[in-house]
Amino acid sequence: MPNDYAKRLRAENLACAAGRLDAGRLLFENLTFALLPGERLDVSGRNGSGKTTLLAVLAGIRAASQGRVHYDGLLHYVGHENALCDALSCEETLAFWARLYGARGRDEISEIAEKSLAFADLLSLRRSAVGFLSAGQKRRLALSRLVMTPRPLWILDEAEQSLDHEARDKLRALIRRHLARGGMLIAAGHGKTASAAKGIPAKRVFLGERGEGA
Amino acid sequence: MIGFFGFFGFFLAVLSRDLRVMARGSGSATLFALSALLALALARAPDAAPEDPGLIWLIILLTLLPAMDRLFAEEIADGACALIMTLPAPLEFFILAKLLARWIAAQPLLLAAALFSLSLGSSFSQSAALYFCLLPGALAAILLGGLPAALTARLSRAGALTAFLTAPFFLPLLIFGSAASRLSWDLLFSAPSFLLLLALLCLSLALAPIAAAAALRNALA
Repeated sequence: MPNDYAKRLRAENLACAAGRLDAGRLLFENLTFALLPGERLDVSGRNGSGKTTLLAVLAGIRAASQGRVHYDGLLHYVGHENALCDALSCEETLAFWARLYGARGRDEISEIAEKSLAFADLLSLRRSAVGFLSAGQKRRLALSRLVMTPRPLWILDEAEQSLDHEARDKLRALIRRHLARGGMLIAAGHGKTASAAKGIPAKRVFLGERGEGA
Repeated sequence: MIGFFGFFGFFLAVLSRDLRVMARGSGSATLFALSALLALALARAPDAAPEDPGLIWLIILLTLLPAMDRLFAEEIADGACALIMTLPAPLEFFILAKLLARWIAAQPLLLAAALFSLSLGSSFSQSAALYFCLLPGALAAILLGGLPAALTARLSRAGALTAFLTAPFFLPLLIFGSAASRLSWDLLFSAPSFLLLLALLCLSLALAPIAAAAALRNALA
């Protein structure tokens, strides 16, 4: 089964160019690491150091310039952008995602959407269009995908941006539960992610001067 | 675990979402086409012959053209494309669903075009022939238009470029479509121009989603 929590992730010799117009400049190179069930990886570095690019490569959205990522399971990716459509209501958005994540049938879809709506703390705003939500509320909605269906690997890019204290604590508790049941987490942030799961040791990747990885 | 039916559910989810989003949009493309058709009625002489279907084809295709422009741009900008790429369902299904949703949304327009030609004095069989040519023609146009839309998805203010890239794809449709629409109903289904139109549809149905998916992956890389 592809949703097996015994999966591990291995990155071998990863390198990625800054962009097609700047193919000579590598954001990072010779990046090799392995992630086992229950482990987390913190990706840190300055603005523009390639954190988002590395996460996109690990999630399979971008191809690496060199090297390979070995992971054949399912994953949750919450990127920098929220992937929300302003014209839909919160409820419709979550029902749409529930269907994307494989929920079938009216009951299953509404049950999953309800669970996510409760996690995002937006039950009272279920019929509001996403366009009217605040930045923090949108972020909560985007993060509520994580509770829809279990996936062994979570890749979170600046997950805590614009969240208030309560939402942050809720997210951290969720991350702790995920790691405790054998999930893997790869997170990028400006250093604050370290407190995301106190007591669970993290592997670290620091992207800075070229190739200073792992 | 996720077989064909899993992907089909994914396909339907994208399709219904897009239809819902489009229903809440301004519908300006349809309104533009309707006003262009009405203007056509006013511009002609009162005693002129029934309108040549070529003009109606031109109006329909020119209306579809600008609507294709921002097809994937929003999804690229808000990260939805990236998210879709992390799901097990192939990107091709996502694109096909979005394009098919466009075609379904264009149905009122196609029906209006046929009714319009009827109201200008075409016979019922001619209007029916026009409608049955517009159905596959519009679908092929939307499918082919998906490729330039995906190619320029990452560019800001790509409107003119997209139109410029899309126009050559639309020309064969315009040629065969308007030629087929001039035929009467009983000749239509054996006419070469109509069969070529269907062939273009089959070709674009098979290849356009794959090519557009490759272009989108490239845009994200």
